[in-house]
Amino acid sequence: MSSGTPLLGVSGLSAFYGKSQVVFDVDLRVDTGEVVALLGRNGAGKTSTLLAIAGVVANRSAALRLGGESIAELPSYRRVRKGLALVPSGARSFANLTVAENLEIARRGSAVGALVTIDDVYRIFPVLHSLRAASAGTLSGGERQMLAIGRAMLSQPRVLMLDEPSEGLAPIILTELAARLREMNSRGVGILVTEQNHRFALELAERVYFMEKGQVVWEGAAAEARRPDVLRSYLSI
Amino acid sequence: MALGTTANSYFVQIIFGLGSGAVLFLIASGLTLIFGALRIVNFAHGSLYMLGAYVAFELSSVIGYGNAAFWLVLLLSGVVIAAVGAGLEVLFFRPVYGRALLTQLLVTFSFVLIIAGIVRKVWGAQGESTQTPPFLQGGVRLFDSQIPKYQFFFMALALAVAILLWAILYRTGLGRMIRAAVSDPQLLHLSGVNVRLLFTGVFALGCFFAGIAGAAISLQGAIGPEIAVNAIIRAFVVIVLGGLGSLAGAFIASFVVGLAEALGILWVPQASLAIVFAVLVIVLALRPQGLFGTRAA
Amino acid sequence: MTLGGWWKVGARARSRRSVLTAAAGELRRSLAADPAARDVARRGLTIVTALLVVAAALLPLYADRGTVLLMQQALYLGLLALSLNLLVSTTGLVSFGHAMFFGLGAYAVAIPVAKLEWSSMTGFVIAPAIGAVAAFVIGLVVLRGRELYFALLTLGVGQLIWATAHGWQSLTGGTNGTTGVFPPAFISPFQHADRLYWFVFAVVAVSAGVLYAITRSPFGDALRGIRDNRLRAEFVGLWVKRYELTAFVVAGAFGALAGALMVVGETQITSAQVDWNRSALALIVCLIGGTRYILGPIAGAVFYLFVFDYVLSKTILWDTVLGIVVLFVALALSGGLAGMVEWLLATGAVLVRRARGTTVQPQESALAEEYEVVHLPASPSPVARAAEAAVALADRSGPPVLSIRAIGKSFGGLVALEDVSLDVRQGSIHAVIGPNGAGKTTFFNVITGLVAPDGGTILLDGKDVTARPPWRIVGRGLARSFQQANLFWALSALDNLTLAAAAARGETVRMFGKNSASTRQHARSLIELVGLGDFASVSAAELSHGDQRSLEFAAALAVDSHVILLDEPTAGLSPLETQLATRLIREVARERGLTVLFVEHDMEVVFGIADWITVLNRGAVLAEGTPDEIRANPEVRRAYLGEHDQETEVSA
Repeated sequence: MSSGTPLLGVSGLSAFYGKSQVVFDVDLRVDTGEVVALLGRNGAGKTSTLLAIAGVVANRSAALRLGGESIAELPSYRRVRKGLALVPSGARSFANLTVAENLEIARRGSAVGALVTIDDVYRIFPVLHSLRAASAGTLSGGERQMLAIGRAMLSQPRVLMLDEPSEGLAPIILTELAARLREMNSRGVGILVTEQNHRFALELAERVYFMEKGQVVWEGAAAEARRPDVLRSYLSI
Repeated sequence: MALGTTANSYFVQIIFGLGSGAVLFLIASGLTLIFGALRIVNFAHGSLYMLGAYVAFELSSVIGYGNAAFWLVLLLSGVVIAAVGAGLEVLFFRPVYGRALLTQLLVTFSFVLIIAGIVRKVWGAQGESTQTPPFLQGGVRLFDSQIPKYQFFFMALALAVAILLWAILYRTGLGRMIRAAVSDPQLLHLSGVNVRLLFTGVFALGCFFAGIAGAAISLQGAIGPEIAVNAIIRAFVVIVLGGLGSLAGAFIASFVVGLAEALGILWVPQASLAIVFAVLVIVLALRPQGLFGTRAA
Repeated sequence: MTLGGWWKVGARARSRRSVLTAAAGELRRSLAADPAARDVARRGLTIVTALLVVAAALLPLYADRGTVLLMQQALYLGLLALSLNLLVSTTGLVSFGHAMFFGLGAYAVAIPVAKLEWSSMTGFVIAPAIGAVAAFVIGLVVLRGRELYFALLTLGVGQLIWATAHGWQSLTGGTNGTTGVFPPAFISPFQHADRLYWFVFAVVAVSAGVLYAITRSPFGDALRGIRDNRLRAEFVGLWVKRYELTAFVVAGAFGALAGALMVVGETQITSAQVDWNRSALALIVCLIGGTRYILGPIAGAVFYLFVFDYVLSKTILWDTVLGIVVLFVALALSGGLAGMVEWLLATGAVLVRRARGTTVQPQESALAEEYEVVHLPASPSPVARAAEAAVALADRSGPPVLSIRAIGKSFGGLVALEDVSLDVRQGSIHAVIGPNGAGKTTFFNVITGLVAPDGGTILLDGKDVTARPPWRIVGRGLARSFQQANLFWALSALDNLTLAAAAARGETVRMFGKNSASTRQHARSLIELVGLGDFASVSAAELSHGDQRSLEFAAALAVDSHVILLDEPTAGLSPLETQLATRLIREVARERGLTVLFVEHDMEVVFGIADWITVLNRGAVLAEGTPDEIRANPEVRRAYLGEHDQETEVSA
């Protein structure tokens, strides 16, 4: 796609928790089929940025557009139906529901046009199929994260945002996860991922933003971001 | 077959206890469902039950007192109270989700007062009585005692509601969403579900059953303005005893309370009121989350 | 009217409402920006209150008998509400059965008069004691629940007591009650018309004074801290349950006093006066008057009795009117009547000052209309110590100050910790590192008593502290900071430290007076130490992330501990802040001889200040040793450090 209208365009985004401001005037964009990483230390404001884009925390923005269409006025659940999905951190699921029921709920709230079905999800994550009657609360962290990704896929997203997806996951599962995300990406889904674990994000991403104290302090290609001096200054690695 | 007189009186009391427990479940089920999903305790639930009784009284004077009319009145009362409940939720309760507990309690409590005054104004303080439908008139002879038919009706109704609720929660998409809301409302919001609308729906559903309970009581005989307070306090005992948010707990606790009251009258008439609260305090002292509760106190 | 018509009406209303909200918002901003106006309001409110108290005291001199009697009744209800407000305004506990103490106090007077022919004064004097004892026993039961469970439990117990009073007719007279409880001669209305009123007034006034003093004392501060952040309260050494129980007992004692007062004044008590309606009424008048104001509950009681006395005579819908008032106050007037008066005074002050041209204009911030933009600069450099002391390796031959032996913990099927043992030597700076999910936070939770281990022991200074509650471990000298800042959010930075120090030193049991000067001095010196001197009066919630971490650290120092556990102390800090924080930790620890055990992800920090490192992986100890040993350990590199590029030389 041309570098004209981004799939997800955010400008002048600020977010607030009660009286304190945690995100200051952030601009970022995700183009169709692009993977963008949002990196920074704990407390830099990455999660708050995602939550603000999803409409979960109090925020204001100059512009917030999905596919050129403004979504700033929409409540969260409407943004999901327009194709903006968020997988929050912590591998959250509906613990008292079975895996199958968890997926059903996601299917119901999806955007129009079912390109991805529940069977697709089972095919991509076979372990979920074998666990489909199990209560989600009994799953391991990795399994719950796969369930969360599966749920996100079912909402037919145009842009998928993931908050620290690699947290607590074993390397094998991370490889699987990266493959799935690349697959979605190749079908045109834009991906915005925040991470503390930069290795996972940098292998996946094409473009990177660094955040510090609620502001974007660096933007560039992933190859640039991998340079040690860059990493050292922004992540003190 | 005949029982001795004491055994007879026990038997009669047990039936009445089960009957009153059944009505209690109709009220408490809505209350605990609302708490499970919305995390608020609706003080006005007993008042809505009472309103349902008066609405049924009015409706039956319009529609009639026959058997078919009875079912219609029952259903319509439920619908009317559901609508009233939905209105209350949208206008007054939504603004206080997430605010301090005292605020929430007093906002719902204010409607106990508001509705009490309105009922007194419209219908007076002396109460009303209405006709029992033909198919529920009279009694059944069991073991030398005449048991009113409507006691069994209450039990059947409670059972039907319990099954209906179970079916809704575990066999429908709506129920799945309600259970998801109990688990993680924010995640549900992020899954593309309009959780605010769902909350209103759950509230309305809970009030629907309160309305039906009121109608059922109304069509049994006499009602009065005092039934609201009576109902809500006992309903609180039931849902706390059973565990806040647990339908199974509410079901069992309702009958425990009903039986305790009924048998208490036989054993220690003066302490009959106290017995229920004593049971509550003892159970909670041992198990603060109630019989089936999961949330730690 | 058509649907479209209704929509237009709604739109007009919405735009009008938005104009109103904009105006209200503007006024709010002016108020926020003009502290002088708020001071005027506060002082004005005090003056108004004083005038009203004097007016009430002199009531019999200018009002008719009926009014005086009504005011007396308002005073009984007001005292009950005051006692309830002690609970509500400090601990946040909402009791829905407080009338049970009212009843106990009333019957404590009435029954001895009726059955034993005692004087009513005897009962009056012992009533608060009975209330206190009953509250102690009841409190043990009801405080097992929090928030909503507590409210419903108090409702249940309250009803139990009511039902007992109702049913035990031989003792209490049931619904007919006990009558003929005449006040003693020196205040009997038959002898001296107004002395009864003044007696009641005096009792209530003194009680209000005592309750006010308690609310303002270190004990009150501790209660508010518990409500603000229960976890933090435990970690400054407060035995939370004991404080709540004490508050409940005090509330019960004064509630019983209110009941006793009523019986002396009204000569009778029936069971109907102690049911949940009275409990609910007590709550309602607290709300109407304003829970944040010391005489708010009494104002609410006066308002209720006088207004609804009038309303009752006018309409059968008085219930509804009361309900509407409660609804309105709950939704719109969070400060109740007193709050409204204060707001009016403040608004008046703002308008007057604006007219005179002396007011401060609110800043036109394009970015935040309703939110204060708090973007504080990085903490200034701590006081620079002259010599960078050589990093002396801790002496590892002496006994460990903290000894952890074979700790295991599983959550369901997940093994979080497995046979973890390590020793922390006195004066060392000991790091615990490991990949995500290695069990580090669980480890800290076990040490500090938040989580009980499945097996193993923890010895602090040789004494067993395994599975002890956090407040007790803090009392033995072990403090902890949290990964997510865990502070008393409503308090200022300085007050956070003052409360922490006071709690640790046991000053918070004082129900009267203030914190000692040495405690306040201690807090002040700490706040300077971490560089937050300029932000001492900023509330913790409004501090920047880095400043909150600094305050966390200061709080750990405030509780006079000799072992400090720091959970990711530099998380979220910029490189400069990290350097400053690291230096601060090292200097303070060395200077005060503290032992520091910390979890970190930032390897530069770890290798910079640690003199001993333990590596956890998958819940078990993988390796232990000096920084050099760990850096060279191939297993460790594989599990953890191997994530870094070979070229990235991590320097000490």
